[in-house]
Amino acid sequence: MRISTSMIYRRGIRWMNDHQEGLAKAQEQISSGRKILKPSDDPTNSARLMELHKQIKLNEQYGRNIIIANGRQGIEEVAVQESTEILQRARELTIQANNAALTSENRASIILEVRQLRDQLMAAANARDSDGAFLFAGFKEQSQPFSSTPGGDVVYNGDQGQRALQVGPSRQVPVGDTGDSVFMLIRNGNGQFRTELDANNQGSGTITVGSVANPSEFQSNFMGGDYPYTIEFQVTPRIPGIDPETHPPEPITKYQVLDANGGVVVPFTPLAAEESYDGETISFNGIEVAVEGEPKDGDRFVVKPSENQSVFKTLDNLINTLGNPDRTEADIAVMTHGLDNALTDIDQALLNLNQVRGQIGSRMNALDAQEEVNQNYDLQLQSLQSDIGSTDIAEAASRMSQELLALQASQQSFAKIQGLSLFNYIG
Amino acid sequence: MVDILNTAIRGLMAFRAGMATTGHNVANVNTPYYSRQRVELGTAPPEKQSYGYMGTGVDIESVTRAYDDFVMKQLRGHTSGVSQYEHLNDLTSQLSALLGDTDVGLTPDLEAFFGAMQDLADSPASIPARQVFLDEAETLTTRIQDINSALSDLRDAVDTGITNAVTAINNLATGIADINRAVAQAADSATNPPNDLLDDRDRMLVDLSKLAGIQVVTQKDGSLNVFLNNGQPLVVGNTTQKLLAVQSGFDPQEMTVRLEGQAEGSDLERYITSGELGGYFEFRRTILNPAQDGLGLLAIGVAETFNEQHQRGMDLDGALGENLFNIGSPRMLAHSKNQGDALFSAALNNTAGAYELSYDGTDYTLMRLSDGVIVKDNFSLTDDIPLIVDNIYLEKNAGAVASGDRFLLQPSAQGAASNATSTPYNGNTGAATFETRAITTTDSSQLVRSDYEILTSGVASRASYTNAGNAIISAPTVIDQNDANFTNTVTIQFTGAATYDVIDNTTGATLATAQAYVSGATIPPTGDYNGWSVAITDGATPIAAGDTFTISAGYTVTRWSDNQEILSNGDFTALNDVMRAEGLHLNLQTSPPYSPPRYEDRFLIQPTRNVAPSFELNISDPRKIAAAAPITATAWADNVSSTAISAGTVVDADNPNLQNTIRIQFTSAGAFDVLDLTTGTTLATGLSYASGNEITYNGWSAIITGSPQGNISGNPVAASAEPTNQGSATVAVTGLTDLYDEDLLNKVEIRFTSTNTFDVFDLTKGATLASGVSYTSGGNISYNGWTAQITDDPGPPAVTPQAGDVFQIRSDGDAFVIKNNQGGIGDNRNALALVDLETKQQLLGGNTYRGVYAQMIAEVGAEGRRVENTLWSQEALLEQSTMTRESISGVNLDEEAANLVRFQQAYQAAAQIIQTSNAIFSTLLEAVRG
Repeated sequence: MRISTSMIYRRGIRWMNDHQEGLAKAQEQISSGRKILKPSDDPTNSARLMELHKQIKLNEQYGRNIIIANGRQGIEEVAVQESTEILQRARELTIQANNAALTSENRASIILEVRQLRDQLMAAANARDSDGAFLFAGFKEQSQPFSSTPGGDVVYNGDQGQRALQVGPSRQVPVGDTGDSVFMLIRNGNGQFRTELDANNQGSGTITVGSVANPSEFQSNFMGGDYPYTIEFQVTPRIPGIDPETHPPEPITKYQVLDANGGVVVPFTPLAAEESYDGETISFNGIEVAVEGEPKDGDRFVVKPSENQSVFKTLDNLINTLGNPDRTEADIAVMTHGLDNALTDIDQALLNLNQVRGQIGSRMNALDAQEEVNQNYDLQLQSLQSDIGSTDIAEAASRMSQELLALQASQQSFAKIQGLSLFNYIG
Repeated sequence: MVDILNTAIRGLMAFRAGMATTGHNVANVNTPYYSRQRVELGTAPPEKQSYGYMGTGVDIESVTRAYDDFVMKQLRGHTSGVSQYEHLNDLTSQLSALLGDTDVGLTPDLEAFFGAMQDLADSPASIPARQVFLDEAETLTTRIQDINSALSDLRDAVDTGITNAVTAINNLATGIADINRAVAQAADSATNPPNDLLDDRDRMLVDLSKLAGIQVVTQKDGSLNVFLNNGQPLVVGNTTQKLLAVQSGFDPQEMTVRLEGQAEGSDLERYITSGELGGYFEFRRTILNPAQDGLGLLAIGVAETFNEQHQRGMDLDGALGENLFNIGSPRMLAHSKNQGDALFSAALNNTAGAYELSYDGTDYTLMRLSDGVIVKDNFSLTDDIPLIVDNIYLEKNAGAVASGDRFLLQPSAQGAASNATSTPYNGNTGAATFETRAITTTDSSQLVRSDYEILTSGVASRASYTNAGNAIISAPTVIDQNDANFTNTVTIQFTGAATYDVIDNTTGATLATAQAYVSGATIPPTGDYNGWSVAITDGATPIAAGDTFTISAGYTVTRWSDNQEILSNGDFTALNDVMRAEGLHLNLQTSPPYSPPRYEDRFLIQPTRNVAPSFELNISDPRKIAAAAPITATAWADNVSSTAISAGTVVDADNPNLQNTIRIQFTSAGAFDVLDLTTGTTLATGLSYASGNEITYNGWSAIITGSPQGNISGNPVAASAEPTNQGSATVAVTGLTDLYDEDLLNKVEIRFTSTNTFDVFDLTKGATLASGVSYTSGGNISYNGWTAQITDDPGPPAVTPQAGDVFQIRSDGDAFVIKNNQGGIGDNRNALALVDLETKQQLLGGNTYRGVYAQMIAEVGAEGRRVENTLWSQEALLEQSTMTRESISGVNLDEEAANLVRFQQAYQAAAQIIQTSNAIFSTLLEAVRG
């Protein structure tokens, strides 16, 4: 091939240019640490890098959200723990009060302490978080959730809103619980139904809190029937003049169960063992209760479905019960039953608080687990990002030295060739 | 006798010419496109002697240049290619740098925007968090505008480049024509070519091919004809055809090229595929337009989806969310050559097309007309109680509906105030009407990054949806498309089962009256209306008076991105049915009165190209960010069961009753009523319940799960005496004075302070309703919408309530309340829904916002890579052809040096011969002088 003079120069310059370009690229890759310097270097992977970058940023955000969520749960847990301790003390006091040896003066001092506990509980329920927002107000975090009315009742001013935070790509975790679910919406009685003593009872009979023996029957007959139900006692006194050997001196006691409309649910039934009917089980509509003590003729006990009752109401009931007189055996029955109910109601409240604490705990566990998942994911993403986007230093360095060598060679050969000219030798 | 001196002189002259040419070559060693020249020598004609022919030396035959036509052709082709890809590469890398990658460009702003949104969701009541979000949103809009204006600058650079290239092309064409003339005038060009002139012309051709791809044809007289690649002549002999840089017919802001004298609209853009011009056009078409479309799509997607969700939220002051962003509409361009003045406007589609609602005497059926799908059947409608189905809002107005009645529903686009009224079918007997509206659910996922060209291609026919009969109308037969009224809207209106009038709706003229109808016959029977004729053929159901058929302008739509014809001569309804699938909705603008589009009128829609500049933040007050949901759904606190209701979601933010207080009251374990307490209406009674049912009213929906408790007393409230009462008075609810009282279900206690006075406390609200009320047995006690009576135990002896006795009125049966979330400032539900948008795949056929952006970058990157690679190979080809040309035509100094030596030596030899001849002559003279 014929070579023109300008070809020699063009080629030399071109080669040097090529190597300089390669050298510059390798150098930039090494110094920036990025394999892909512009999207056109590797369009597919640069789009993947953007996606990875987005995922990593999102993950960082989830991490921040988890810290916030954990902080809130921690504050809430403290408030719930405090409430639990208050109620534990109330429970102890209730047990202490349920002692026949106690005088009304003793009970008065208990009343004082329970009042104090109620105020403490109120303060705990109106607790605020670090931003000054009320913990238990639902979405209405700037208004005090619990307040007392002139009638002495406590009302909930918050709502049922529960804020959730995004802690994972498809995971929202609720933070906090609403005040009504923690302090207000607590089933009284045994959680399914509760028992009451008629105020006009004359005897010493009280009724236990009872239990549901047959859930399906309870649902269909008890809840489906006309509640409240009344257990009415009929006591036939001993007929004088009859031989006590054949007819025992004790009166004959029967009970019947009526519904709200006076319909008979259980007809008159004598208590089986007349000598010791104390505590015998009465069953109807899927529930079991027992009457203890000695009801008098006409004494009545009421059974109705559980209702939601606030812990404040529970403590108020306890205070009222403790303030009742204890003169007659009926008074004592009212007191005993009131304390029994107070104890179960406090237990229900404690159970509820424990459940709330359990939920907080499991949410915090879930947050921890999610955090770990996020961190692992982050690790994977980072390593993938580095695989795709980071410079392989060894490779780039060796490429750089190759380019350097080649550039030197081109420069040297160019210098040699351009010095050659026939004109140097003629003339 | 041969003149030896003469021979020597010839040699001298020849070798001097050789040296001069060598000198010329050496001098031009660095002149571009210079072809090395050489002196062609031949022996001079010999002299005939008796003993034979005697040589007379050397003749200079010609000076030729080392030249290969084919190599030059290759060189020009490769130059075009390199120039095209150089410009393409230059512009693409500018664009690529603008869009950036993970660290620069829009990505950091998108990240900051969504990060601020998340932080806001974490602390929805925090003003600083809200302010930061607004700042980041502002930054995002500004950044998108900035990038867009940089893209527009690139577009301007392309336009300037095109104008400059056209000027340069015209100058070069003139230069080539001038040389052509000079070449033709050099009469003996065939044997003695004007080498340097030809080199100059070659240089111009190469320069021209840098600007645009050309074809060159050599003429006999040595002149060259130059054509653009599609055969359009630029230079013919010594005349030139001028190229013009002109505004595009659709878009006056876009430059394109056309040959002078050519009709407007026949631009050469698509034929110029190489050279600098080709690079500009390719860049604009395949890289810049999709990128700017993508940026617009991102802006429109962010704006529309955020606005939609934001409107479903509630701000810090309890107001419903406004638009978070402003955004412009798709651009609609009418071609400058259009005959008519018709204009369209285009918007993002949020309509659902047309529906047919039919009533069979007991139930309704709703069919979507565009695809004939029955979207809901066997349902009932109560007057004034809306229903949401298939994302349309449907409400029956008062008025009787008769069996067999049908209604055409064309849901209006937007806004609560703009409910559209149904159109009754011809032949309906009832008087009922319905209101309908499309629920705002913007779906940007169907938007395509493409332009759409709408051509008025003729006329199309349609039988009215509301016809009683189902006769079919044929496609119009075109008789004279140049008729002045060709595309006017014409109605064939049946006045009886077999007579019709023909009315031109555009002009208002009656074209014919009381025509007799014959099935299948041409209308009109002879001739044409406005340049067309049609035929109507009976269907199964006969035509009834009042049935109408319409003939109107027909449109053909081409999607430019894939050059697909997506509609062929359909009417405006068909046009919108097609465009709906592309995510767009078109309106013909009617005011001021425009004529219908004329035959062959053309329009161009650019759905997202130009929306970015109008992308801006609409709110500036951080309190106006709607982080909360506007409603709350709660279970009544006194519910007996633990049945739960979901928090409730907004499905129709435009519903004016959205925030009304609603009570869902269970009357039994399997049935419930729905009451609107704000308006005092019962929305539904006795609805049957199943756990997990979704309940939707007033634009919200909520789900109730569990086993609810019905009421026992038959009333929503029941009264009871506390068992702890000392007295045995009884209590009963005797009536309801206001079922819609919001406090109806509140737990109220009547507490006796003595045997004849009582206080009334509302325990739910914590309010004292009354105190010191005097008691009468059996007297009415009315509060909160109920009336109760407390009655003494008749005894004997009669027992009145005692001091401390308590009577309670409380809800009976489970209830749920949905109401305004007033004061719910800690609510982040809507903020979470906004956060959720980040990962939702709702743009461009199922892509996230950032996905769209990443796709844009990847596309530009891939284009950039292709361009770089092609440029590289084109450069290699150019290098090769340059080398080949150099190999043939290039000057080699060593070679020239050798030639110089050769000619010099020959010259010396020739001079020696003169010397010798001189010596001979001297010898002779001396001999003679003797």
